[in-house]
Amino acid sequence: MTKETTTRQVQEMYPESDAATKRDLEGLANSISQFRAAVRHIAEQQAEPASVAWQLDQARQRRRSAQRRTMLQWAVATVAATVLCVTMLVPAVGSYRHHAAQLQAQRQEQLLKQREADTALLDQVTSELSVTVPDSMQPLEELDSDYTNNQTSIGKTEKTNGRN
Amino acid sequence: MEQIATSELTHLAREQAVLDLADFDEVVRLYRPRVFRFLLASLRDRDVAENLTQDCFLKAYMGRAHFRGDSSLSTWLMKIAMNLVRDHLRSKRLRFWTKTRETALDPVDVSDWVPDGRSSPEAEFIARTQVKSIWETVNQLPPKQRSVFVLRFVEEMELKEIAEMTGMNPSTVKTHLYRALAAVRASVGGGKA
Repeated sequence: MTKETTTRQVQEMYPESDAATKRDLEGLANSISQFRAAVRHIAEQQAEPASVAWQLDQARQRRRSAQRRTMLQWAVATVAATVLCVTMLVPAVGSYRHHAAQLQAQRQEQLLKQREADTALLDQVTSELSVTVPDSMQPLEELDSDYTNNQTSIGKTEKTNGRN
Repeated sequence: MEQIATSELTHLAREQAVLDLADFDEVVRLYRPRVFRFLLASLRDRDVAENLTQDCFLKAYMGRAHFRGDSSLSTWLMKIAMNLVRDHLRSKRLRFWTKTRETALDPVDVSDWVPDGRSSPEAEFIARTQVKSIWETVNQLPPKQRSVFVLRFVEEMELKEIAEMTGMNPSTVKTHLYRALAAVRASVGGGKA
């Protein structure tokens, strides 16, 4: 590509440019031409390329090693993730077990307290029931006991009669 | 010779292009310089450009059965090269901890060689500075702008061909080229970016 072609290509990008801009664009095209020449020069400085078979073989080897590297990276990542999960889970499981044991102990303690409370209540009821009947209620108690005795004797009589 | 080969292959029938791939040594011999130059200008790293050139031809060799001749052989190879550049830049971003390669070209090296003998040392210095400046600006362009710029002004490709290669429509190619050119123009002190 000649410098003129580059100038034309650059000027195509700025169709509505005045004379001053065109001169400016010519300078730009000139610089781009030199840039292209420099890049081409560097590219041509490369040593004579090896045989195609060798190049393809190199590329194949690189591809294989890249694949191996990727697999290794995945393996390392998987192991790391597993270790991380285990590291996070072990304290969690320990904490859960500790919490469960605590709950169990609390429940047992609560049950014990409940039993004690029940025993105390029963004792209280028993003691209240065994309180001596007040004097004012004594006649009623005697009547009640008489009634009970009568009922018992009536029952016995009926049984005796029944046998006979 | 390369240009002659390119123009010859462009005019070949589809079947002929496919057959040409069978003689792969010849394909590599004809197109290697162009592919290598594009990769070198895009990546500024000799070793990487060399490796990716080999990768490009390996891909082409392995995928030669899929080449239907819808585009020219040159366009097809350059498309593979463009994809390799994109993949390389992507993996380079992921490998952010990798230290800068020592083989990367020094911009000063690029400007060491300036065509045609200049009359004065001052003119030569200005020319070298401008080449260096363009080289650095191109390196800082977004990937699409850089590819379009290199394909147009280093590889001398037509806008239509670049559009076909990049999968963009011609107006988008022109927009990218305009922006790239504006940045380059600003870098050499000729206008606003």
